[in-house]
Amino acid sequence: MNVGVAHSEVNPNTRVMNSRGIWLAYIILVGLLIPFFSIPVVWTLTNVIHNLATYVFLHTVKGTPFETPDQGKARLLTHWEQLDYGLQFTSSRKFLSISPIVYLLASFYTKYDAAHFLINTASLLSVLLPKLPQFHGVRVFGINKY
Amino acid sequence: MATATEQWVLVEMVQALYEAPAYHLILEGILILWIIRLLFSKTYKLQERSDLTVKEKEELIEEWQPEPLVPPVPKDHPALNYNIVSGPPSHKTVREWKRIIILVTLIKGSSLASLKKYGVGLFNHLTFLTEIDVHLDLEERLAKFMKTEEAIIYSYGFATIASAIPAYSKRGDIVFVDRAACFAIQKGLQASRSDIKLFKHNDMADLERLLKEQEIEDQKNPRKARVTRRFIVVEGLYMNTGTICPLPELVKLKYKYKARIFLEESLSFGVLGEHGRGVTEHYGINIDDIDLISANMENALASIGGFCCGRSFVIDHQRLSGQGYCFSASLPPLLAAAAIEALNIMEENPGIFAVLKEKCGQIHKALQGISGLKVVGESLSPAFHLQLEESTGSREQDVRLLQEIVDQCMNRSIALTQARYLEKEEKCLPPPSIRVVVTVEQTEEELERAASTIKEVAQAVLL
Repeated sequence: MNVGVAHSEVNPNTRVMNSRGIWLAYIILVGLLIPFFSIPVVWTLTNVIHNLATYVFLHTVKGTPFETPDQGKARLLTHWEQLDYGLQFTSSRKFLSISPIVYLLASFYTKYDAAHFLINTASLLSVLLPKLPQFHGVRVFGINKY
Repeated sequence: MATATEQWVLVEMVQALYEAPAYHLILEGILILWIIRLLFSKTYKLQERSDLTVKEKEELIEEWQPEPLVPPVPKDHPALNYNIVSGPPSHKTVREWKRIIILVTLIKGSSLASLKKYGVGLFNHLTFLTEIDVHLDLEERLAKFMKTEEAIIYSYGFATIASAIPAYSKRGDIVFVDRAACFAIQKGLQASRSDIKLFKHNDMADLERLLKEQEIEDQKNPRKARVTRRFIVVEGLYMNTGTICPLPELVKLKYKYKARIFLEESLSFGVLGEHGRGVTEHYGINIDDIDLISANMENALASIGGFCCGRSFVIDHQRLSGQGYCFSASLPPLLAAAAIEALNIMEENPGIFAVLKEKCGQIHKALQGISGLKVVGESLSPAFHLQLEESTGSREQDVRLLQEIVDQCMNRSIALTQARYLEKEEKCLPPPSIRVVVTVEQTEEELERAASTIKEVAQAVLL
């Protein structure tokens, strides 16, 4: 479904990442962050900021900004858990899981420095782990449960 | 100049690649493998574990027998034997209808006028497309009459409270509701998917116990408590028992335990209180203490439909979230005009409420002392029940006995009805009874005659 289209989707949040053109928009948005200077620090910074942003928007914020007709089924679910109504390994989920990895693989630019490696890997893990199907609905230490 | 720096940087990069530490390359290898695994994994639903093999599924499918389209029904099912009302409804023909079918005949004038102007109905599937000045007028009049900020009109009385409750109460919220709540409230609660806690009918101690338990739970988990909404749903005058809810205590409990009150005034609107404003006027409670008042217009206003009134903040939410409002056509304008006319009558003669109270008291007294039947309901309630004093043990037997009484009264030209319930669907099924409703138009002689007829018939049947 696209913006401004009449739809019978119970929870539009589930179909946002399947909309036409959103993958391209995502790539361009990340691409805008690509430093023009090939300095390792800026590269790591971009990686960390991108991962932080995806963590906040996909794995922290819960519920929907609009009312849904299903009496609040998704009130306690993060956006990642809402995608495609909980169906695992759909194409948009795969896309969102692979993009931080691809970013890290291009750490060619960091000259393989150990400190950069640590920061980048830690940030990548923080984004990859919540995307595993085993972590669906898991709230560690009760943080962000309600 | 730029290309030179780039090339220089590239050379450095390539050099760094040759000197890359092993762990880094290993990690990159693992990540590449992870990407390949992701790309080739199949989509699956999380809880899709079917414990049946294909063979078992086939067996089950073969065993299945479809139920008949028309299930076998006993011959004396009430739906197969019904009474027909011919002629304009008045208090003489249909005794069991509510107080103001009478008013329909008085309202005939204005209804005809609006019928000529607007036609019969406005057919469309969304209320926004079918609401016209008559509805807006009725909403304003109702809001002014009940002294609230705003009112909203539903086109079907049952759907009013059944849409109002799920508009506010969602999954994870808690609703404390009386056991004797009517079927519409039960359906609204079911649709809301909230946690329902039933308390004994009109028992404030039981309600307080439940509220206290909830408070203890809340203290154990304050984060959860902060996102849970709590509601108390009561009726002003209960349809199933004819009793009035103790509203002052409820308001005290509301402020003590921070819950919202939804008051359903189908029977008490236009009946209780000095000017007919319902149970809040009856007890002298400030109407702002009640968060939502919902009522049927099918009882006191002799129309079809229902309304909710309260603060604008609360009622406006229902314009988009009330499913029965949003996704249903609005009231036919002639019925809205009839309701306005009925409101006019109520506002012009506030004396009728006192008269009704007297008549209720009279019929209550007259029907006491029938051996075998007991009167269930308060003396100022116009709708009360006659239940068997001792049940015969089985519900069908009781129903049949009462039906005998009803049939014999019908033969002596007193129309009565049994209170009908969907037996399998009600949460707390009330015992079978005859529901008697008094209207303001019946004269005292008629009431006396009716009471004595019922007495005779009951004595004949039950002894």
